[in-house]
Amino acid sequence: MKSTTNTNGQDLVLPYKYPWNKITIGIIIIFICAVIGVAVGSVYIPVTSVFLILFSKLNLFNGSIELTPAWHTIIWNIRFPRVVLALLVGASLGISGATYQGLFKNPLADPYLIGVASGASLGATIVFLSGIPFTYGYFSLLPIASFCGGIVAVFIAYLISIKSSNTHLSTLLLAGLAIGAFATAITGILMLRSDPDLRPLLSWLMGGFIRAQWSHSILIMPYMIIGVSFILGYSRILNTMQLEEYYAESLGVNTEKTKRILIVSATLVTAAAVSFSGLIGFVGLIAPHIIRLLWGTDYRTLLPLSGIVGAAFLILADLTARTIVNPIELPVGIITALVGSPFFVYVLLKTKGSTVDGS
Amino acid sequence: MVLDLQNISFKYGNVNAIQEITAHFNPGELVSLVGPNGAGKTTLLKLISGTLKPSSGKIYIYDQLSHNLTNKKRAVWISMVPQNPKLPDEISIPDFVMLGRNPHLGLLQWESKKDFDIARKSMSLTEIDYLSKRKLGEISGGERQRTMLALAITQESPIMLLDEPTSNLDISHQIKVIKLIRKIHEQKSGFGVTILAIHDLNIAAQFSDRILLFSKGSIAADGTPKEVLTKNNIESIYGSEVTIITHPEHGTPVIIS
Amino acid sequence: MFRPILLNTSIAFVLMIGMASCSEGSSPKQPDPAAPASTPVPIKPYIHKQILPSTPIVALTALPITKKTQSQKFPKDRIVKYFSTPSPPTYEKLTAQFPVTIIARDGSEVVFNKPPERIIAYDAAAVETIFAIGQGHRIIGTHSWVSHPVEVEDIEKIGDAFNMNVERILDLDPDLVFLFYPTFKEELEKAGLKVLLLESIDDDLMKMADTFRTWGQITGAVNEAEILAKNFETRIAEIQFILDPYHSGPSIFQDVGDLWTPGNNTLMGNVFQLLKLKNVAYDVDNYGQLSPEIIIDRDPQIIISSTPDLLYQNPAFNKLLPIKNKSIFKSNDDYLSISGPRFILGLEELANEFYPGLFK
Repeated sequence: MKSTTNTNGQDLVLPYKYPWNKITIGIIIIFICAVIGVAVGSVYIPVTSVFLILFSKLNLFNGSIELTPAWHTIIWNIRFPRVVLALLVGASLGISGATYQGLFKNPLADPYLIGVASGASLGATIVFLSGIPFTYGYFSLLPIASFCGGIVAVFIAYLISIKSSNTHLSTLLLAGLAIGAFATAITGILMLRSDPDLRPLLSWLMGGFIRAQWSHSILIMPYMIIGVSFILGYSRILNTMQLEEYYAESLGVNTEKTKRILIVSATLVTAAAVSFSGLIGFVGLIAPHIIRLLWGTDYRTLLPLSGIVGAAFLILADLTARTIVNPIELPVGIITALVGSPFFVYVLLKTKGSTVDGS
Repeated sequence: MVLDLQNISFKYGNVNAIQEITAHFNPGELVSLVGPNGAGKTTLLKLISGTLKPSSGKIYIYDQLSHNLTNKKRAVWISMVPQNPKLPDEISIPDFVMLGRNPHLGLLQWESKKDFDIARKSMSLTEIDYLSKRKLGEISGGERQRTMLALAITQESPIMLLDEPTSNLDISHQIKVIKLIRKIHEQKSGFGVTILAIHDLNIAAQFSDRILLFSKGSIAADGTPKEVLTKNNIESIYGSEVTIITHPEHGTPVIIS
Repeated sequence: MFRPILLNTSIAFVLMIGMASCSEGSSPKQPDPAAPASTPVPIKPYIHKQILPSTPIVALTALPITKKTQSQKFPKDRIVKYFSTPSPPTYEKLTAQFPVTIIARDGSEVVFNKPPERIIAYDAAAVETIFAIGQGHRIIGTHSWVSHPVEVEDIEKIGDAFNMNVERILDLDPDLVFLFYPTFKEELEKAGLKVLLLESIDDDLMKMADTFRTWGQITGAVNEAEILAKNFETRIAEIQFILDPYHSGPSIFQDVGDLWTPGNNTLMGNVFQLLKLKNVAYDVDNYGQLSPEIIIDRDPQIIISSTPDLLYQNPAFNKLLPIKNKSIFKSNDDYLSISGPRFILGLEELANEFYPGLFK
């Protein structure tokens, strides 16, 4: 154990520290975003009233509050569930985006871009149109159907990309694009052939939180928790997966099993996100890249922080979507795309010629 | 026996890359695989490391059938330095070297202080401590080779496989890297096996205990450098006339044309 | 294998959480069964400008907004009856004049030397109007979303509303193609066809009568068109007259799907103004997805929706009057979505629904 420090006396290899401080700061940021999200809306409600309503709901405040029932409904049944759903969906998309990027060694992978979300929405559409009552109290078929659609899409995209020679990156994107377009086309056909009273489905496909309810968050939570636990559990292995497959295997990784577990988990998380909020693009792309730029590529740091950034970003995007053109709402996908597409181009230009096409 | 190859063959499609090779490797040996391009050196290394599965024949590692080992178990015993792998540019050197600890860690287990010390030690052994702030995309070919070597050392496995560790390096770096490999091998004090595929016969002659000369997927000669690198062997396999002299200091054969 | 286990675990998880939280009060609430739909709801009285002697004001002040048990149905043949009555004596008999110049919505002039015999009318309102003035035999093609009147069944469909089989149109050799949006105009004109583009009326209700008259001029059925137009105008005027004494009626929110709603400068906005209903989306431009917060804040007393179940199921809305009373009005989309001769039926249906007893 000689020479553990170099001539400057610095540690050469710093032991990896879990980014608890960053996570704590992240959670505080999410909390602030959430408070802003609940306090601001198209109807003006004084901040004091907002807090009174929240405290009374949390049993922290027992005095009688003299507030209009409308305000109470707006805070407790509209804004709050909406912010919570945006938080969960944002975190899901951030984490699953980072997972897909790591898994496919592709900085442009995003649940939306590689066709998973389109597949998931096709699954959900089939349930919508089949006329099966898709919610039984607190059990819903939607996440399961979305999951089935998503997993089929991602596996097809993946198979195509490994079947075709070595340019994994572009092939995966193109395959995802093709499958996404195909799934969207099928969704379109299904909708054309059904009765026109399905306009809600159209706007569901556009993505958004206008219909957010408490029950939605409760319904998707278990899927998220299970998927995210597996992903976080595999976060160290995901670092190894950044090497070429045979190299990773020579380091003792069972790459096939790892890929299967991570694809299934990430798709489960994506499906949960898609099942009640529809297609929302770019969150899964933006969040991991911000973290990469700031703190490098260790997936143990990247995954939880991507979830945090995704959550905060989507809460704010939804806030913008519902307040910018008062009194009407824009689909939140418009906001994420407005921010996301320039970002996408930036990432594309930055990665071009280096890791993208390989050596 | 550390490593035992019994009658192994391998086909790429219809092409026989390896034909019925049988070889035994004993503790403490540094073995060079030499031969013309396409003779099967790299393929044999891939078969040993488990990247490829033999079409027929058996590979035993510490008397266990390699085929039955998990990737993890195999990685505890065998480390590998591949030739020119595609590496992710944005990973930092210490993070990359730390990946070598993977076979020793459980799924939910993260590196302990001990693991960091091992990685630190291998970085100073390969003299890449000064790279600790750099990323894989920012280093030269020689540094890259030593970094991968550091990762393999961090793996702490008795068997180390190296595929053309000196290719793409200039002469001073070639000697530096090969000396380093010899040093690492000697640090295992007689129980390790190091196998390297190398095309430079003089380097192989100078630094190896044993040389396997490959020709068209089978072993043409097996023995000490002096036994294998004869005028006859080289002329028949490489097909060009050579002269062999003895190195004035080391007493090893030197091939000149 | 991993997948089924994961799936089952999650389902189990969902069920577990579901069971656990079912006992809590936050489950999506159905309207309280203890408050039946027929319970009278207190309504703010409406202030009258003046008292019309012939109007039963008492009935008006106690406007029940609950859905009536016996909703007033219009006889199916009512529109036919209108056309078969002899012309009102208020105007002189007109004669068709050719050539006639029609100014299209984009300002271009389309000249007709004689009534077109082979019309492709790519618009539901146009088809209905042409049939209503007795000129349906001139139509040789339309799109597949047109379903009224029944005679349309025998007319060839050339694509759906937004896709057109141009080759087939050329094959049919029409002497007029009527369009309500400009996409195919240029292409058809290049092929040498006469094209008339009148975009659907989306702002001013009263323009509808002009469109009826335009079709009369084109087809030569000026008298029938005048009857249709006058009939429309009279019935509108009747509603205006009856509602004239009142300042304003109840507030209204129309949900055309996922809280999309018409603003004031739309045809429906126009209808609401005519009926003195206060549109909660008064500050929305054209159509927009209204923020649910705004809906709750503006507290509509009437809700029209084609998908009422989605509104009933959303706990955020369960304090709104029409949802508490389960009295969301499911409108007849067929009438009010086509600015043709049947539009007035939809309008009168709304008037009767929201001011019961006022229009006799």
